[in-house]
Formats: sequence, C-alpha cells, structure tokens
Amino acid sequence: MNPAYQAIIGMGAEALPMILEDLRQNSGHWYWALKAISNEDPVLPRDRGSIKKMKGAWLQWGETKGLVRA
Amino acid sequence: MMFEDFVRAIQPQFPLLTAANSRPTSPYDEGYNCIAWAAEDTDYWWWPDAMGQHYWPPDVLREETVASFIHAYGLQGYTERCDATLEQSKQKVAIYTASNGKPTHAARQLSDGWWASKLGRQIDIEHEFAALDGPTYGTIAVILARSAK
Repeated sequence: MNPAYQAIIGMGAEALPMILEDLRQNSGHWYWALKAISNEDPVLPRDRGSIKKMKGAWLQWGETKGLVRA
Repeated sequence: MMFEDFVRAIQPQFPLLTAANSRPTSPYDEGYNCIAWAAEDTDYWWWPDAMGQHYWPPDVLREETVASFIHAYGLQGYTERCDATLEQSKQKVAIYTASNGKPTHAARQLSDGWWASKLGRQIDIEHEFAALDGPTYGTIAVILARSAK
C-alpha cells in the first residue's frame, strides 16, 4: 500500500471529513481507508466494485454521521 | 491534450509506449479498471483486495497472485495457456506482473493483433504487444485464451 495512503489511515477518524470530501469531489479511491478507519462498511455485498454505488453509499454514510455536507 | 502529449507525459511510467505503437480509444471512466476492461466488464472495478471492497469473482481467492487472476479469467472462459500470436479463432488476455510476481495489469487482444488496456485512472488505449512493459506494469507473465465468440 502506498505510504501516503497508509499515513492518512494512520490519522484515524480525524481524516474522515477530508477523505469523504475528496471522494465527493475527485472520486478518490478511499474505500479501504474508510473501512479501515471507521470499522464500518455501508456498501451492500452486491455493490462491491460498483464505484458509483460504493461512492454513494459512503457519502450517504458520511452525511448521516455529519462528516460531510449533504 | 493531444494523444502525443498524453503519451509523452506518461512515458516515465511506460518508456516503451509511443504515439506510433498505441492509440486512444475511450475517455477515462471511473467505473472500471484494467482487469475488468480485459474481461469486457465496464460496470465493476475488479481487484482481489483483502478488504473486500472491489469486485472479485465469487469462489476465487482474494489474493494478489497470478494463480488467483488465472482462476478469475478462467471463469470467463480463458482457460488455455498460449502465446501472443494472433489467432482468429481465439480471444486472448494477458496478465502482467511486477518484479515481485504480483499482478499489476491485464490487457485483451483485439482482432488486429493489438491489445486493449485501461491505464489505471487514465484513458483506455490500444497498443502493440509489450508496449506497456516497464517499471509500472512489469512484464506479461501469462497469456490465456478462449474460443472466439
């Protein structure tokens, strides 16, 4: 795993708003980090690999948690 | 950006790639990656990540090994080991590996003998065999064939 990516995971929950905003704006592939940091996974098993659905599920999760604007 | 400029920009990653041995085919699409593109799937991002975030065929080990990739493409009918020779009766996919043996990329042979590749989070291109060999994708480790549809 990329060291920079690892470092961001190492920041823990503090990094979640930044990660979610990047996911929203740039579609960054933050799925491993989101799961590793939050220990949650809002993506339905059948949607694994469907980038559009994964992105939607995580942004909705972030909005519910108040981590990213709706 | 002109394709020639694009190729020049990525040449540090793909030193053998030129505008003469490749051509652009479709713009960047975040919905799929090279492994999916080789399997002709544009709906899913295929990767056997241990976190289980991306698509990987059910019952195939989620590990970054050539064996796992051979199994995954085998389920798409690519079961025969072969070389890169163009054979009209066969479709072929090539699996690339880095120097550590881990798969990095896959490409699908076209009817004219060139290969279709999605370059990471970049556009899709078609290219001559071995044009993507180098520090980013390593070299082709295995080529698999199935009967042409």
